[in-house]
Amino acid sequence: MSHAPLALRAEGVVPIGRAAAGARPLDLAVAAGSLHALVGGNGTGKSSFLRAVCGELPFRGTIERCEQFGVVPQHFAPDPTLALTVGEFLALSRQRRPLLFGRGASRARVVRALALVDLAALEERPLAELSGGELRRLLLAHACEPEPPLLLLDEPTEGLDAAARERCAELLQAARARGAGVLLVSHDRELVARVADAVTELAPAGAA
Amino acid sequence: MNPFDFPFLQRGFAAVALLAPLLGALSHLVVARRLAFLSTALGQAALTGLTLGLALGEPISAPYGGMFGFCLLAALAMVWLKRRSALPADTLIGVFVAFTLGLSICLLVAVTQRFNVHQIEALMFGSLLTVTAGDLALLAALLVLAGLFLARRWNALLQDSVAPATTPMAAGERTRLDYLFVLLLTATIVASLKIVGALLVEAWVVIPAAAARQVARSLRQQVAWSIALALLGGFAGLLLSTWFTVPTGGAVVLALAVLFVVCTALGALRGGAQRRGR
Repeated sequence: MSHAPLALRAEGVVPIGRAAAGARPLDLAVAAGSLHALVGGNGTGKSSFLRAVCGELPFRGTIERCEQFGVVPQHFAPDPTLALTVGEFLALSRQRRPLLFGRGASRARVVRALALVDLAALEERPLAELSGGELRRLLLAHACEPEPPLLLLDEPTEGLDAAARERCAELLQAARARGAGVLLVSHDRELVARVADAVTELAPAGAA
Repeated sequence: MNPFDFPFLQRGFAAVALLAPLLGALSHLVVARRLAFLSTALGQAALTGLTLGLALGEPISAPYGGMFGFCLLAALAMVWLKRRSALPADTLIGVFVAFTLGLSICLLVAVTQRFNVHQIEALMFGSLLTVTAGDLALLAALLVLAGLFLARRWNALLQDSVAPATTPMAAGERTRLDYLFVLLLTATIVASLKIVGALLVEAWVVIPAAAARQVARSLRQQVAWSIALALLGGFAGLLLSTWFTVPTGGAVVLALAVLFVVCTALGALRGGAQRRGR
């Protein structure tokens, strides 16, 4: 039995919107330094569970988690008319000085985050001009820097090419190795088989 | 005629100089946070609060209690419902606008029996004549408070607008941020009413940032353009209202609308030139 502290513990959790759909309560624990994958078909409630853990969806049950966490959400579509660059997007949560007065001390952290996913060359590119795969990589960098104790990732490899998927797997393994707990929602069975310590498969709501 | 020869015009220009930077900066966040319709609803609620206050006996020279009180309650109610209801935010706000419009129309009938209709019009459509030295002091205090709040929370507000799902916040922090921003917006809208009027204030909160997005190339430029356009629209509106003897609010909104059209045309021309250059 593992005695590692828990990064996340969920007991009897049902996101409120899914209760009516007959979803079963989910119990799940992610220890520090481990990677737990949540798999299952469409509509089984994987993303809803992850959003409940993030605090985005109301739920029944109990969720205890680290206060600091990084997250890659399922959907992210930047506003095309907001002139925000990739570097500025990352700087928003990495500096106290209002961004309109310029980027100061956060620059080194932004560069470090972008280097994690090989996007350093795109620092000055408008956010809205990134491709789907580049956006996923940016979100992964945003989640992984500055090394939070818990990562909550929803389909982080969706739309990534082979090299980027490999880099993603390496980042997940590195996070686990430094002691972070990782909850991974994914349809990428190859990635799950490669990096997960534990797997929970969700059945469709109402299934026996 | 030199507009600066008259004390009431001097006060009007001073009010715009204090208010426009705040409106321009807030405008950027209002558009980013998709609160344009909520701003319309708050302007409408201010009118309802005005008529409610007057009906309950407030003096027409300083009807702030009813306006601010009702606006504040309306703002808090809309944010509370928006966060809890499964209905889309614009649907909820639409229901709210209909309710406040109906209420204010009923109350207007009662109020106009007691006051000169022109006094009510001044508050609905804005008037320079009503700006006092006390109003200027209030605007200056609001500008300082808003500046302090925005200096601390600007990044969090923008991050929460751009990608809320990627922004972990402590329990209750996002809720607090949401309520505080709407509270600031409400105070600014109420403070703007004497210049631009209850029915038109929303234009000053939305148009500057919308126009700035057409021409600015960076985030800093978008905020700077938004503030500059709010100032330009305000001053141009005051001059128009003085020269043509029309309500200040209508003149300010028309000036802002012209600036929006010009910025949109400039943006389209530049976009076309860039496409041809590729």
